[in-house]
Amino acid sequence: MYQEVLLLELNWVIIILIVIGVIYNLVTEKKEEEQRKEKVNKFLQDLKFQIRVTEQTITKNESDGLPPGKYFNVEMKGLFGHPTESNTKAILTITDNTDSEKEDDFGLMVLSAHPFFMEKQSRVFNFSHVYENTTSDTYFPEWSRLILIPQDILILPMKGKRRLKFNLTMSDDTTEVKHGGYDDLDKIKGHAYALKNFTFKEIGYVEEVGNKSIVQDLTIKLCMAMAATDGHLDQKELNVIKDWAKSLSDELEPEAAKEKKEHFKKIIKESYKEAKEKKLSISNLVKDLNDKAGKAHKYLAIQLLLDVAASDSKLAAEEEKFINKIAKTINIDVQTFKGMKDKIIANVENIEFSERPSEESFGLTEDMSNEEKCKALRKEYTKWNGQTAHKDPKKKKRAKEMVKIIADLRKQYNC
Amino acid sequence: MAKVTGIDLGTTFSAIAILDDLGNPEVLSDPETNNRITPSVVYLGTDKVIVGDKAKDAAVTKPKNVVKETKRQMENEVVYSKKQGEWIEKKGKMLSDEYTPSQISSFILSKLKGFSSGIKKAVVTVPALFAETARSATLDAAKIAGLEVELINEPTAAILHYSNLPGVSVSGRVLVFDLGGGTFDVTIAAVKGKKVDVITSVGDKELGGADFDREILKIIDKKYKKKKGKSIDLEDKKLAEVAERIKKVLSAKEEAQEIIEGPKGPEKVSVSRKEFEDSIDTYIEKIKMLMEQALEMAKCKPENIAQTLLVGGSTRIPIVVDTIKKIMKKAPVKGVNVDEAVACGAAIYAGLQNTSSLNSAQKKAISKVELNDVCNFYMGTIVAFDDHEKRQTVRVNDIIIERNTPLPASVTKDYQVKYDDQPTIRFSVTQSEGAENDIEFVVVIAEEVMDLPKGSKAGDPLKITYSYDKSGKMHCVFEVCKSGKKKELTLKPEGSKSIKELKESLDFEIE
Repeated sequence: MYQEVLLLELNWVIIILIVIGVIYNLVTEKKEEEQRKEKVNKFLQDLKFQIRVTEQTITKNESDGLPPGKYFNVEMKGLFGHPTESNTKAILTITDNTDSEKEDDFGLMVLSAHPFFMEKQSRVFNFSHVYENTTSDTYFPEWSRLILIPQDILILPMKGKRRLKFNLTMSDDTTEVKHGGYDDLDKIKGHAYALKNFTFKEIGYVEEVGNKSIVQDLTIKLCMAMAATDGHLDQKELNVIKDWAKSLSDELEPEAAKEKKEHFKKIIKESYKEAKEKKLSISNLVKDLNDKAGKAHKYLAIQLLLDVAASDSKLAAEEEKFINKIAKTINIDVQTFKGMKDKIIANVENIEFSERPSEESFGLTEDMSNEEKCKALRKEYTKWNGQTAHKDPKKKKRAKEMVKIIADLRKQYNC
Repeated sequence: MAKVTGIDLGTTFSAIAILDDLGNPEVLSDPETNNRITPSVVYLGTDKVIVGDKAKDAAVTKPKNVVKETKRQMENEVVYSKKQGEWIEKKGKMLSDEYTPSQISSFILSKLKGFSSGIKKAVVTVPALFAETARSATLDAAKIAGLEVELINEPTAAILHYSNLPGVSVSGRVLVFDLGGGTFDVTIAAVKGKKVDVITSVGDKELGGADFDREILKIIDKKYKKKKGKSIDLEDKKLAEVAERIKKVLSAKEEAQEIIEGPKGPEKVSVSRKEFEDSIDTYIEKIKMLMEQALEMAKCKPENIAQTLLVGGSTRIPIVVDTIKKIMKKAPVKGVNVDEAVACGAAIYAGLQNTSSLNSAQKKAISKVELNDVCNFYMGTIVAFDDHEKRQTVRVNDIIIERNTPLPASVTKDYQVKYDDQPTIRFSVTQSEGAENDIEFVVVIAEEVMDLPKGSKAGDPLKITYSYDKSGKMHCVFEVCKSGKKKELTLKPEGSKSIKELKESLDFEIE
């Protein structure tokens, strides 16, 4: 009896053991299956076409030919997905999706200030690269760089914190892009995008359009204020301003042009009066211009100021000082400004430098050593010395004066 | 047989040399005065023109009829007015008492040509950085004088002469310091035996002895005025001679004295060397800059220069030599005739250019001579460029051939059509001394407008090729790739006008 029971129990044990064994087997098999699935998924994930955008700062020492500054490093990874054995074109566009409701909305176009990153026929940002003889299984197993984009060439629609969408498309190499759109969607074989936050410090192009009229008025007022610095407003100076205003209204449709003309007339008259009575606050005008004008307009304003200053064939010390100060305040590039000024200097008959020949006029800065200053002045000398053979006697005379000023200035630094 | 001739047409002095029967350069002297150098001074009489020392003498009695420093006017659109006694802007038709710089220079060339018979062809020297217009005017002058002429840069000629001097054996880099009466050039060349490879030439077209004379005149004026209360005439040609004399004395002595015939009677004025040196310090600074620039362009340090060679009369001035010593850290070479080296080098170059007119001894003498020059300017073209900083499309100069590229050279660059349906394209050829992008600072020496095929697209390819040969001739090819159309231009410095136009009313006996 006891034995029977024992036998019975033993049977149970065996049965239980068998059941456990079966269950165990089932469980482990399932786990392996899951692992396998995961592996496949990961593999597929790796093959999937992807884009990654990171920020990168390049310093002077590691620049390797690239100008130092902040860059977007655009990388990609995965399968090209091009079905035929021909070339694949990678096309990168950037949109500003800050105000888009959904992530995959089209967004506003980002423009480029540099021709290298422009579409063929517009300033819309575009970068393309053709990979030759790609097949359906061509892929990048690791993250590979597509391009480094200097951040300062990007022009966004609005100022401030923005959300950029980097769209990367793999397509037939015949694909053309116009204003950010593709000519034939059937040619698109793969697509990926990445989002990135970016703070745009300049005035956006949409804002620029909105501010256009205000900025034009500000420019006129500034010119008036400068023209009045020497105590009287010259007719020649006034004419330059008027001509500029005319060229702006002439661009418009007849009806709008008429309106604009009237408006400018009013502004010129008003600011003329204010300038004469010294009621124009230069610092406010400059501040407004800085807040409201885009880079392009800032340069246009400086150009107009220079033209007004030179209109009487004379660059007076006061005027030069005035423009130098504005250029500094509105933060335009020192070298570019110098180039613009040199052009004016080459064409005026008389020139007075503020106090003594200003070092600034020759691109000398305080942080330069004497040796660097000597070298910089030598470069200036080459530039103006070349101009002394100019056919125009006025330009020739000016160039000779500049050469003498440079040589005299150099004596101070024991070159 | 035609004589193989070289002419140094200088600002203040000129010289002529031929290759002698053995192939050595020989300076010809004025058969009348026996002088080997002739002042580049021209007296314009009514039916007679006098060149040289006698013309200089005439400056005292008839100053308005005497023309000096014509070389400085070669690049200008001016005429010398005998009536006004100065260079004036050329406007419309010339009057009978007006002369172009080419015409006046032609008188000097004719005078030199007369030193010997059988001179028909010559090599004339010009400053390395002489502008295209000035080269052209020099060739016009030769045409009027009845000479078939080729040009060579002055410092290049000097170095050619130097490397051919008997007993001279140079191996390494040589710096030629050429400071004459009106122009200053610095050239660095690699010399190996008689093979000369020019590396770079820089210069200033208005820096020379004549400028120093003017500074001395200013000192004299100051002193005269202090004593007598009235200024002297700074344009007085006679006083200019006095200043020149003082300068020469100061090269040997610490002080020079002269009696100045001013508006308030004669006055004894003395000038010290220190005063003179202080007065020309701006010029010395320019000299320093150009030397530094030459060294930088040649990518070498002063210690890499084997020898510094002096050319031109103004290298006799002590402060000039001191400046060279300071920069080069050693003394320059002596032993070359500073007044004659350029003419002699030009004669050797003439031999190289005209081997068919040489006898066997001459041929042998110059058989090992080899000269390789460089492009003295940046050659470029004007393109539309989207300025990234200004956010505007601007016109800029794009350099195609770099300065100091060894000749011959050929460079092709690719460009693109800017706009869709653009009807035409304007190709330009520019020249500049510095690597300039700004179109204000370049000279456009040629332009060519070409049609683009209908339906041209932005980005359609264009090609520009510049080929520069050894004689300074540049060949430009502009190509519109889509239509395959090409336009070719050959730019060669050549006389701009017809001989009839040039010689008009010029029928003088030249003495």
